Amino acid sequence: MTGRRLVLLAAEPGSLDQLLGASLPPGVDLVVATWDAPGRAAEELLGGARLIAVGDDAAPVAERALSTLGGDALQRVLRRSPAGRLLDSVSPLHRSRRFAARVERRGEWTPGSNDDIVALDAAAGLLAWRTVRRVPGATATLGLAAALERLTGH
Amino acid sequence: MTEARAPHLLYVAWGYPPSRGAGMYRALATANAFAEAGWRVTVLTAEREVFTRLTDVDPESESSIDPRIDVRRLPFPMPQLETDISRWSWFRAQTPLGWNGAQLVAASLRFPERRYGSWRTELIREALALHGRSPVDLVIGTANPHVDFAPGWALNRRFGIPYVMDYRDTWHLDMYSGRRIGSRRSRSARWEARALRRAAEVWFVNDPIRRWHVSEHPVIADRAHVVSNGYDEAFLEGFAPRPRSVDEPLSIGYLGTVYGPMPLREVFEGWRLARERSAVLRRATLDLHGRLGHFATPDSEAKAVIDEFHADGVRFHGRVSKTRVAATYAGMDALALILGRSRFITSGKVFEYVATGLPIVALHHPETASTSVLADYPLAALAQDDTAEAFAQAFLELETIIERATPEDRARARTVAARWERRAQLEPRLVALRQLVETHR
Repeated sequence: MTGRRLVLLAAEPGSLDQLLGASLPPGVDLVVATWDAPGRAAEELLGGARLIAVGDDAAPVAERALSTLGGDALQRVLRRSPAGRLLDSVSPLHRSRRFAARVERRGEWTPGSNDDIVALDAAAGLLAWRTVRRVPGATATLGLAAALERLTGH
Repeated sequence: MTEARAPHLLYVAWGYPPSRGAGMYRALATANAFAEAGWRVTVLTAEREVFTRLTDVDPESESSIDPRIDVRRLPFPMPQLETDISRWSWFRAQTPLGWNGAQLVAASLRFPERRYGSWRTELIREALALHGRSPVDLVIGTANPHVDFAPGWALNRRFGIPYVMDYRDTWHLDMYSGRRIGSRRSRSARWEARALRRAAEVWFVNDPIRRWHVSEHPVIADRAHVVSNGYDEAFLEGFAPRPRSVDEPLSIGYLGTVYGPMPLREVFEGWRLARERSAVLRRATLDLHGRLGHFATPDSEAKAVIDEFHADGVRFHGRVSKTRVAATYAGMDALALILGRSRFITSGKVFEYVATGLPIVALHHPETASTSVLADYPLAALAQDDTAEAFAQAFLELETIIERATPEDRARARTVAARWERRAQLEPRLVALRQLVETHR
């Protein structure tokens, strides 16, 4: 892992809990982008990591416009049924898109070829996928356990 | 018997060693029994990697496979488990939910079974190739997954080869509610009905399940047999009950998978009540050995309930390899059989439990099918209901049984249990199927 940077992406509440039972490589350069600020236990584990919590950020203009037009209310209705949840998953207001847009707009994490990106939940997968597609050398894995297995080679 | 004349069995079992899934032992024992009986046995199963990711593995279980068996490990598509995001398609990245749905639909187009249906193509291809190289005389598919039945059906349709459908689990019967799963007109129900009509034999793990299937498919009445799970003598080799002094605290053990429908909380509350009423039990421990849930990731809910009763002497010790089963039983003074309520569930562990000859406390509703296995077992305390109070009473009765049990009682218990040895369960089928293939050749 020499020279690599570990980037954890957590778009859903509770995703950072995966850290509680895990042991991160010692001395790793760590960036954590999350929707909610981490709980105290997770924060202690993260130590000197660079934390980017975007949940309280102002929504981008397009998202605000959609919300004003009743997008949020529609989303609540959609989530009540399987077909609705499917529709919601492709909407611009889905958590995966909101999270990706906010993290990219912050600009506090500049993806690099030495990044090992870990999507801690499915909603963070979209940002990880977009990044790994445009940054050669970066890796992206779903789930912390799978990522650690992959990075440590066992 | 010469190798050339030995009949060739194609045995299809997704859950085969090193899978840690509960059904693995039936598959292991059945294939071994045929090999021992002089059959040439080829097993079609999934690659080891599949079990590492889905069920967890018991690497030592592979050493129990009869070396004469030819094990073919086939790729099992698991795109949903692809964690390398760089390999994801645009569709999957945009909507994991939609992509998952599409995968389910695609799999069930090949065979009407979620997730596993996609394995059909690989299975049929290999079965046909194998039959071309070395003609197959009989196919046994053990389910679930039910796609394991597909090669038997395919070889029968094309070449008239007889096949056995071994239901170690049910397909369209909810074993807890007793209700039918899905419509009789569903694709999977129609496939099952067609396959049952042509099957040479259909095996079930107990009589209530056999009767339910016969009532649904009367055409199988004369071909439907009970092949109980039984116990494997080999796994209890070297087992001897531990000598215990009167002062030593009792260890009442559970060995098996801890899973959802078990009345875990009621059992622990009953245990707590019993300890309040008995000085002996107050010093005793309830020791749970095994897996938490059926998947590689432990069931955190079950773990939380167990931890809640730690002060009451409830202990969780983790997984046990089959090769450590005898040693684990040897550390127990009595066994706790904890099961969900169901007139269709016998469970595999009841057979292993009786084989030990140790006192058993049955912590399940009396209508659960395992009650019939314990009916004539002399050292069993049976709960009369599945409430905490009934379980407490059963624990207290167990205490009396432990105190009074003589070595003769234990020997008698083991004698009663002998008929549940797995090979004894399989023997009549081995004879009948040998006759069937000889006639068919």
